[in-house]
Amino acid sequence: MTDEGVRVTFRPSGTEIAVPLGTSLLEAARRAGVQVEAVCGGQGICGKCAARLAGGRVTEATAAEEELLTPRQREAGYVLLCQRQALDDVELDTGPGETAGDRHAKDYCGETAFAVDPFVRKTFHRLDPPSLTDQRADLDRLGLAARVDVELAGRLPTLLRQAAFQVTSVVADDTLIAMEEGDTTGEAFGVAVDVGTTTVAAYLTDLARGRVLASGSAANGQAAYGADVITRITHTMETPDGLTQLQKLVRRTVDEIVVRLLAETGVPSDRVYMVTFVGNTVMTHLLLGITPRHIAATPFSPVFCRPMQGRCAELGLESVPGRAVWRTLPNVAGFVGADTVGVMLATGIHDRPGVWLAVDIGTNGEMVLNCHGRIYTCSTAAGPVFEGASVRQGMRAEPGAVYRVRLGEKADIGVIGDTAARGICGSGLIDAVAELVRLEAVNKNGRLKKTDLPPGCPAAVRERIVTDGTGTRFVLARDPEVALTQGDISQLQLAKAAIRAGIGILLAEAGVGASELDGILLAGAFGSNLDPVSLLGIGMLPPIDPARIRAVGNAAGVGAIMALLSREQFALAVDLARRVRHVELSADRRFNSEFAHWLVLEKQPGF
Amino acid sequence: MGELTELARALVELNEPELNDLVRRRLDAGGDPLAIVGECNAAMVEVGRLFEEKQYFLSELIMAGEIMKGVMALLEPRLGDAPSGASRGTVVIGTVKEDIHDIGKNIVAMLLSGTGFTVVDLGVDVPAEAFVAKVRETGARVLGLSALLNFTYPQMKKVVEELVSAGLRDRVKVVIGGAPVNEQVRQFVGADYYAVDAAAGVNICKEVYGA
Repeated sequence: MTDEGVRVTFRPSGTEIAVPLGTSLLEAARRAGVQVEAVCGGQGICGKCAARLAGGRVTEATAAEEELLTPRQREAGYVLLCQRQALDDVELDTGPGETAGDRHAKDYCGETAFAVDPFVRKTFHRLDPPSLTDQRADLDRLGLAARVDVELAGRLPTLLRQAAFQVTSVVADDTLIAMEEGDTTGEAFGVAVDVGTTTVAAYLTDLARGRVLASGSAANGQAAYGADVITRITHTMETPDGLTQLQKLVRRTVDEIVVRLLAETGVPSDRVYMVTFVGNTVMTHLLLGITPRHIAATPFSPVFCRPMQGRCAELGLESVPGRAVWRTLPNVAGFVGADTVGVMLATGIHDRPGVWLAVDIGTNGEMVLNCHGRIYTCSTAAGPVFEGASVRQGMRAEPGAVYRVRLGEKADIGVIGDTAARGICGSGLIDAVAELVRLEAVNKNGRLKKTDLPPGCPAAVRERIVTDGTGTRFVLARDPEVALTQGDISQLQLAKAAIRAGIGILLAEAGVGASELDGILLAGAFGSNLDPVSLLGIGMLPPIDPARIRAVGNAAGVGAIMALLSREQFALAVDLARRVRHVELSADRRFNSEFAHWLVLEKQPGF
Repeated sequence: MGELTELARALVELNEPELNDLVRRRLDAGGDPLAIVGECNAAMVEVGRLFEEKQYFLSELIMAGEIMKGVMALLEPRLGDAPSGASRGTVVIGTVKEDIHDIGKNIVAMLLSGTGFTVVDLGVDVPAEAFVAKVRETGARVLGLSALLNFTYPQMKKVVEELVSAGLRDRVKVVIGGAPVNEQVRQFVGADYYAVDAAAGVNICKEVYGA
């Protein structure tokens, strides 16, 4: 307490204000210039001004809070600012405490509540100008323990005096990276980036409020040098400038998305202070311009697994100031990267009681199993079949792609964009094969039946199985014809067997049966669009109640957002990467026979 | 597949339960395990032919190989050291150093055995010296080098170079196989042949041994 009353400190900005005893916390926030949503104007009706009481005494809880805050929020110390008055010096956390990523992410991110506490700290300083009785050095006057760049120190005297000694300091990773005129504590932004082999996604995030402002994605510019990581690595080895070239391409992709997000939101680039990255191990190496060549060949050793950090200038990023800091989340192994660690953070899989499996389905299928607190991970090469490659009429999920197939008395074939079918995408392929298996129109080996179809097989299915000189195929659409060939089914068998074998080995490693699974989480933009029933139907996932399978969207990206917003979550990521047990499948004697075993397509009980 | 026995047909059709059942019944009735191996080999040759004709796919080759492995496990205790008849010749095979992919190599080995070759499979991540030593020891006239990763081609080249320094190059034909091999790679490596798939590999071995 001071002579004037009580002091209210707002986190994460660090803004302080002295107010008379008994002032409402909302009023204190307004006077301090801390932005708080108060849609109802402080009537205790909207519940938007919730904040966490981090310290100090305030008045008793009110009936309005009982109604507007969840029991969990109340337990965690949340109050409505308009309902309480300060009785002592008080510290408040105005971050919403929870964050949301993209559309998919919002649904489940709430499950992993965390306090917003980013590496970036902005503090407003109202300093006394120097005088003969106070000759402290400019830097000492700020009272910051952080390291200071010489370049910034050189600009400090002019800056301080121009700003009449009212400045906001920006400290990131224990370094003073910027000094701004006036109180800019409310304007702190960061970018979380998921560098995928195929697609790069970025999330512009408000660090002061713990919110994602905008998200966007673009095709990874490296795609011109191969669709998979092995081809990219080969490029770096066979072309003299290959590594620099690939680094430049991915950096450009990131810049392109970030520039777009800044323009969309009107956030000035110089208010971006931090970038976090996730990606598979090869992608994080390429991003940093570090050779991934030893990841490709046995024994697959990466240069780094630990989290890396630095300044954006060294990465050559142009969309954000060079002084901004960046960090990568840790990798686990050569083929289990920071993106998988991001999935772990976002799903909170390590914290879930019982037995949980998270699967990121893609060209490389990564999976994480939490078995009563013991965590296992592996990756398996599923090949490009899900992206539509290696399928005769395969295509990406674009207009004209068959994406959904239901077979009954009539065949219900869903085409993206309401146009004529041009091809088939991954979800359509999985759906179609699942339906054929369910109707027993294919045998265990994946062969389309020609003569021995079961008696109950609908005519709509029977007449679509066509045999001619080129072999047997299943016709999904006519004029132009889109069909599934025997070879396509074989490709899907190979991919699903690789993933199922990986799951089988993780379960065996943990010593649990598939029946003990409490739930399966499907991560990744692709996996999230797959029908759990179809995945079970083709046997890609172990038999489990479909209601226990949940899509979690781009969980890797959400993990990057969480690590950007919370130092604690970042530390958790580092801990998880260390704790998780990596099972190397290529050296696993069980893999080949598990893989061969799961090639079969068998009608599942209950389907 | 007219001449195939019921047992062999079960393997070609990948009908594992029926095949295992037939094998057990034959053994219980005092059947000759070597004859069963012979029928399975004939089945594998047929599977290879169907694959060559693009009627069968990789998934089916792998399944057939796995089912065959199961049968061999049933037969092994009864096979003893019985000679398996005249060999068409010896083939040394393996996945080169720095690569551990072996599904393709295993299929080739299986088909070669089925066709009557004696196969010496060195496994995966095999150093050049091991290939050279085994070629010298067995006098094999075919050496099969497998790799999935294209930057392990230098490893294949190294094997050929070591064969040259060991003075064995003229005595053995080198066949390379694995995902993206082509004429250019063959020339780079200095191999004699490249095999686009398992069936092609078997045909090359037959050609070399003049069978």
